[in-house]
Parts: sequence; C-alpha cells; structure tokens
Amino acid sequence: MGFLFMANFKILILFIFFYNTSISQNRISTSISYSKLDIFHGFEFEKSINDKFNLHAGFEYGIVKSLFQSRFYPKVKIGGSYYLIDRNKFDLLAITQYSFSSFKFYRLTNDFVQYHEANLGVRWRYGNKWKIGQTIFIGGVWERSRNTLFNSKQSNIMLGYTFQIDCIYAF
Amino acid sequence: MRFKILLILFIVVSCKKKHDYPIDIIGHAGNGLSISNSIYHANSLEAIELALGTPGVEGVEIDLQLSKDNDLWLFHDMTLDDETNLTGCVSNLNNEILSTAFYKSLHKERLIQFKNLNFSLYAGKTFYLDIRHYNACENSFIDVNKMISALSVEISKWNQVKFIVLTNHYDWLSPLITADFTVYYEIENVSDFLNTKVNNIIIDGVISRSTNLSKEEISSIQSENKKVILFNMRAPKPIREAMNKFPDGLIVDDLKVALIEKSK
Repeated sequence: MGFLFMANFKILILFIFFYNTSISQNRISTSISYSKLDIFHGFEFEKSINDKFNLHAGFEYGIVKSLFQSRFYPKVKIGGSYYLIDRNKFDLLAITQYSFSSFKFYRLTNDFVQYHEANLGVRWRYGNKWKIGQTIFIGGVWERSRNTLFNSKQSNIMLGYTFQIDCIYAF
Repeated sequence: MRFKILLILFIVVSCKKKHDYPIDIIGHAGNGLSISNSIYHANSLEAIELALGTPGVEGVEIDLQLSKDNDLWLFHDMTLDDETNLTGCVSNLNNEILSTAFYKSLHKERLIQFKNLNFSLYAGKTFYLDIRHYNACENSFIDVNKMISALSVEISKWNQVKFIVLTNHYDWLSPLITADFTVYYEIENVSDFLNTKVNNIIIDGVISRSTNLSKEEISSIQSENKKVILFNMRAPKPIREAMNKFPDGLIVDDLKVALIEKSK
C-alpha cells in the first residue's frame, strides 16, 4: 500500500512540475524544521507558475530517528504558496502543504507507523539570489498503525505544528 | 582472495542482528502522561487502548482514585480543576457527577471508571495500578480499607490480566500485602527498599525514577527476587541509559521511541 502511494506521489510531482512551462523563477532550498514528529532536515524544489503562485515538492528525513536511533525516517512533501507581499528582497507567502512519512518502530514484528499531514502556514524570505527564511505550519496529523487489540489498522488524529528555517537559492 | 575477504566483510557488516532487551515496555498513564506527542489524554480509555494495541507494549500504568461512592476512577491530578470541566477532588464527588466529566483536550475524552475498562480485550497484558492515598481538598488520607475493598472487587473478576499495585505510601504496604495483592513500592533510593527488608515488609518489587537507581543497585534488588521498574524517561538517550541498567520494565511516555530502542 505504501509503495503504491509513493508511486502515485512521484507521478503527481512529475505532472505538476513538467506541465507548466511558463516559469518565472525556480528555487531550491535546504531546511531544518522542528515538529511534533521529529527534527527534520530536508531539501525542496519550488517553481513559480505565475507572478502570484508557486508549487513546491521536497524530501526530508527525521534527524533524531535516522541518525541517533538507527531508524531511517523519510518524509515527502508537496504544496503551494501564494504571495501576500512580493518586494524586491522580501517575500511573505501563505503556504499549504501535504506530507507523508513513515518509519518502522518495532523491528521484531516489522511494524510501521505512517503519518499524513495537512498544513497551512506562512513563509517569509529575505535576499536576492541567496535568501534566508522561515516557515511556520499548523495543521492536522493523521497517524496510522496496526492495533493488536482489534487486529486492524487504527487511525488517530492530532494537531501538528512545524517551525522551519530555510536557506534558499533562486535561479 | 581479496574478493573473498571483501565478501566476508560485507556479510559481517550488512548482517543486522535483531536485538531485543528483555524489558517490558509500559505506557505511562496509557499513552504518555506529559508529552506533547500523546494523541489522547492520560488515563483515558482511548489512550489505554492505543497503548495496549501497540505491538511490543506489555502493559500500562494507570492512576486510580476513590470517588465518594468508593468506586475507582482513573485520574492523575490532585484536583480536577486544571484538566477537566469539573472542580474539586475525585474523592469528594459521587459517580453521577464524575460521569459528566471530560478532559479539556482536543478529543474531549471522558473520565472513566476502572470497572468500565474492557479487560476481556486485554488478555496477557499487565496493569500497574498507581493508587492515590491522599485527598488534597480535605488534607486527609484515604481509608486504606476502602481502597483495598474496591480493588479486590474489581481485580478478582479478571484472571487473564495481571494487576500490580503501586504505592509510594509506606503505611499502606502491609495492608496491601496482607490483602494478597502484588505490590511494588515507589522508592526514592535504595535505602527505602532496605528499610522494607529491615521491617520485614515483603514487597514484590520497586518502582523508581531512572536517575535514582544505579545499575548495581538495581542488580542487588533483583538478586533478592524483586522486580525493578523505572520511570521518568521521554527522550531516546535517557530511555537507552535506563535500558542499559537492565530493569524489569520501563514506564515510558513515548512508546514508539522506547520500542525503537528496545528492538535496535
């Protein structure tokens, strides 16, 4: 099920980023973010589809689980943003994002937990070619894992947040 | 020859032994008492069933208080004011009022009675019952005989679940042991345990903050056929440090972090 989802996700990213050819600017960035689930390090590619809207996609990994607990914790994300303020050096954007992450928490039974996140937030950036910025998200986190009491998959919903610092290169 | 050496090295390096510490992972108040990641409120039915349904979790610790009607309710704090829609103490309210209580959390979980837990679902699991001996609203101690009576009625119904009574009140140890419960004493240091030996109080185990007992002290307690449970761990490092002391169990607030450490 997870593999099917990842395959569909890749197709969606390819479609979004290669469908529109009227590009004004692209940006790649690296980020560190603190969230309920872990501290993440990631990379993001953003494409402007017109003067007001951008689309982005990226990949992150959970630092604590991946580096300190020997448990690789990947996350993929996709979203869009809208310019609220677009000055020469300073941008302020409203942003929305969906992400999917998963890790194996119990090796002896091969049990995974999956997280779907839907977030709204704001993003600001300062600079010319090289920019620094921050992104703040709040939203819903949907946790999905096996429940041995009921012998079925269980879904649990909670509030989530992300505080992110970005280093961006525009080209 | 070089290829054979490389092949052997590759096999040795790439083989991952599945290591399992022989330690019980126990959910603190269900799925975590004071941790921002806890989905459901501590001591709620949802938190307990989420914890017990997590693969690798052997039991939960829950907090029990007597109501005015002498029934057992799951609740942690001294008063209801901060966490629920009610005010006052559990011990001063009857069951009818307590049945209207809910937590001020996202899911608005209800307060539950011990007898409303569906123990037939929890076969093979262990419940650590942290019983409250003090009424903060009246500055008085609860009658231990009422607590014992309430516990006896409920525990005797369920053979497929293991119950361990936890207390930090020294004066309650003897009555609880006489009532034939499995009793663990919450200690601040190993001297508290030695004190029970001196006074011939035969407890079944101890529970302590992880930082209060060393590996050697834990080993010495275990050599007397007593179990040792540690608590007060949230992050991976303190959980790992606690596991390396080889207690019998860990009461943890983040179950998934603990399970990762256990099965590394």
